[in-house]
Parts: sequence; structure tokens; C-alpha cells
Amino acid sequence: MNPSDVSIEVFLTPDQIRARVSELAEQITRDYAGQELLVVGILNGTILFLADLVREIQLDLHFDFVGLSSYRNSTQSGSLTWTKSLTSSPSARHILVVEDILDTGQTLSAVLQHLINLNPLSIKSCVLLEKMIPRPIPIHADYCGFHIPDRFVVGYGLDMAGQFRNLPYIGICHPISPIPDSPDSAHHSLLPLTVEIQFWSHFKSITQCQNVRISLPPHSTLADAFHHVCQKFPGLQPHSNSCLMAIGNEYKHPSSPLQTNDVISLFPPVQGG
Amino acid sequence: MTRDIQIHPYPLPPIPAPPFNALSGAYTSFTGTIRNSEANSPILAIHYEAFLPMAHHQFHLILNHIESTWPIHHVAVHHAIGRVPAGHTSIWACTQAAHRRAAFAALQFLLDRMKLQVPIWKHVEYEDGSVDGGLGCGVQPPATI
Repeated sequence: MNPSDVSIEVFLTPDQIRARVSELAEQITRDYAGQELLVVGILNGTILFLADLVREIQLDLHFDFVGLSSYRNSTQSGSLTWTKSLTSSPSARHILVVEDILDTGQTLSAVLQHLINLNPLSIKSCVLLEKMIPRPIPIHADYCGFHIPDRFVVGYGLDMAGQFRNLPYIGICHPISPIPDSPDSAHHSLLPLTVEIQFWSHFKSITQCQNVRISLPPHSTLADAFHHVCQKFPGLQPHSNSCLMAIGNEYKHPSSPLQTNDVISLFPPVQGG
Repeated sequence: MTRDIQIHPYPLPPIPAPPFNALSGAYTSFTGTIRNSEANSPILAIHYEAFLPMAHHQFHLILNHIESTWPIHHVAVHHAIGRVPAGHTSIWACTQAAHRRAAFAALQFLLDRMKLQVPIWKHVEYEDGSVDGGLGCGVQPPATI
């Protein structure tokens, strides 16, 4: 995807963001009552979130920024480059690292590791968005605004190749034109795929069944399977942004390729406890 | 680290005594019970539905992370499925470690992550006996794994 051929669907409205940022600020104010805080923002995506957050935190605080670039003008995660270091010393201070989105965890983990080495009194992290994906680096944020499905999101500081940071809402990018088949595909099997799809929780009420078997063209992905069942059960379509997807017992990205006899599960956000 | 993961039809089995471990100085536990209202409406019960094989697997992934992050000796999590009446226990979890900080942190992590990734869902039963979505199609979750 690139900025010129995507459509952006509103995912979190300015009001939803404002309300959640206030709640986070209240919680941080309570947790750090009577203490002084150094808020460290990770440039560039965090600035709008940080600006709104610190204005609602009722504590003595300073803020500072580190720059760390992983996206390097594209939408694929790559290696990390430090672009700005702290101007104040974190030593013997309570540090709250603020990040826009916890995706692979690579950036936040590198910043936390760097700051821990500088002997802070304590260190916690606060992210606006956390993607619900398995991570190669085991990491979670101490404060999280919203848990979101694995989609490309922009706005409120988040960008696609530098664009869309100033949108007042958070939106999900959809490619406008279908992605053409890769030239390699002719080398793979041309047999159609047969997969089983299981529905859970409210999705069962929508489909009125627990599972279906469907046939898909060769090289189909999990997202293709979802679109296929949405045609059969249009009531699922409004849930496309919150739908969780698994193959077998593992959460999978919508771009995951399917194999014949895969058992796919589709379900709404979980609610145990 | 020893593990005790149970996703069990209501009622949960009695809470087990902490396993004896002379190295464990800290034992923390959490019991979650059903409130008698949901979004200001009085309720009778919550029906829990689980995708059992995946739920067990996801609990194991969370416990793998706990095992690699904190020095924990034992973790247990027992989650009820089926109809749990208001006032009754839907989840019990515990952690055991040498010191309290690790035990508290791991227990908190377990519960937070469960709410994100373990495929268990709620269906609320209101005072008039109606149950919100999900169970309306006559499909019952399997009782045991």
C-alpha cells in the first residue's frame, strides 16, 4: 500500500480518543501521586498523543523525546536507527515512555533497554494502541489506550510514508485497487483450496451455524476467506475491523496464506475473566 | 515452573492448597466473581463460551512468557465455562514465587493477557431470562476438552 491508493476508514473518532486519553491520564496521575515524572516520547508518531496526555496528567512533570526510526519512509518494519537522544538525564527519576503504537515491539523494547541502562528510579510504558498480535519480543505496555486488530492504521500522529499524521481520528487503510497476483504464482499448485471455517460467540448468531466448509481459489489468504464468508453472511461485514482470526490454535495475520484442510476460526474480541 | 490450567464447566473445583515449596516465600491469588449488574442492568448470570483447544494453547503461551520473564515456581488458572450465577466464581488464578514482586507481576500479567488473547466469551443472562447473542442458535460449547 502507498498513500496515493488507499481509502481510510474511521476506526477511532476524536471523541473516543479524547475520552480514553483522559482515563489514561487519570490512572497515571493516581499511580504516580506525589511523585515527579519524566515523560519520554518516541518521535515522531507520539507527539499528538503525548501533547494531549500530558495536559491531563495532574503531576509535576517534564518531558523529553527520543528519536528512533524503524519505518524509514516505507510501511515495512526494518532495522532501527537512532535519530535523537535524550537532552535530560533519566538517572534516579521516574520515567514514563510514551509510544503511539505497540506493533512488533522492536522500537519500545530498544528504548526501554536503553533507558534502563541509564539507572532510572522506575520505568513504565504507555502506548495509545497495541496490536493484538503474537510478538517475537515478549513485551507489553503498562498503560494501553486501545487494543486493536492487526491492520495498518494512520492519523493522530501515525503515518503512512510520512502522510496522514494530522488526521484528527485514527483510520484503517484499505487498498483501493486489488493487489495483482504475483508473477510467482504460476509456479505453485493451481488446485482450489478447501478450508473449514468455525464461528464463535456472536458470530454464530450472525451466521446461524457453527462452521462451514468453503472452496477458494489457489493461493488464497485468510483475508480472502473472510471476504468469501462475508458474501455468504453479510452480517459479518460490519465486524471486519474487530474480527480476530486464527488458523488452528494460533492467531494469524489476514495476509497469511491458506493450505487445504486448514481450520480457520473467526471471532469477536475475547472477554474471559 | 509447574502449571495447572483448567477450563472447567461451572462450578469450579475447590481451590487447591498451594503446592509445598520451601523456596516459595510468596503466594498470590485472585478470585473473580460475577457482579449482579452489567452496564447498570441487573443480571442473573453470565454464560461463558470457550474455544477450548485454542484457549488452552493461548494460556500456555502466556505462561511461557511468564516463565521466561519472572522467577515463578507455580502458576494456576481455573476458568469456569457454561452458566455462572451472579455472586459466584468465574475465575481463580494464583502464582507462587520466592518473592512478592514477581508473584504479583506475573499474576497481573496473566489476567491482563487472558483478557486479550484467550478465546473465551461472555453472554449475559438478564432478569427476564433472555441471553444476549451467541447462544441463540442452539449451538452449545463443548463441555470439556
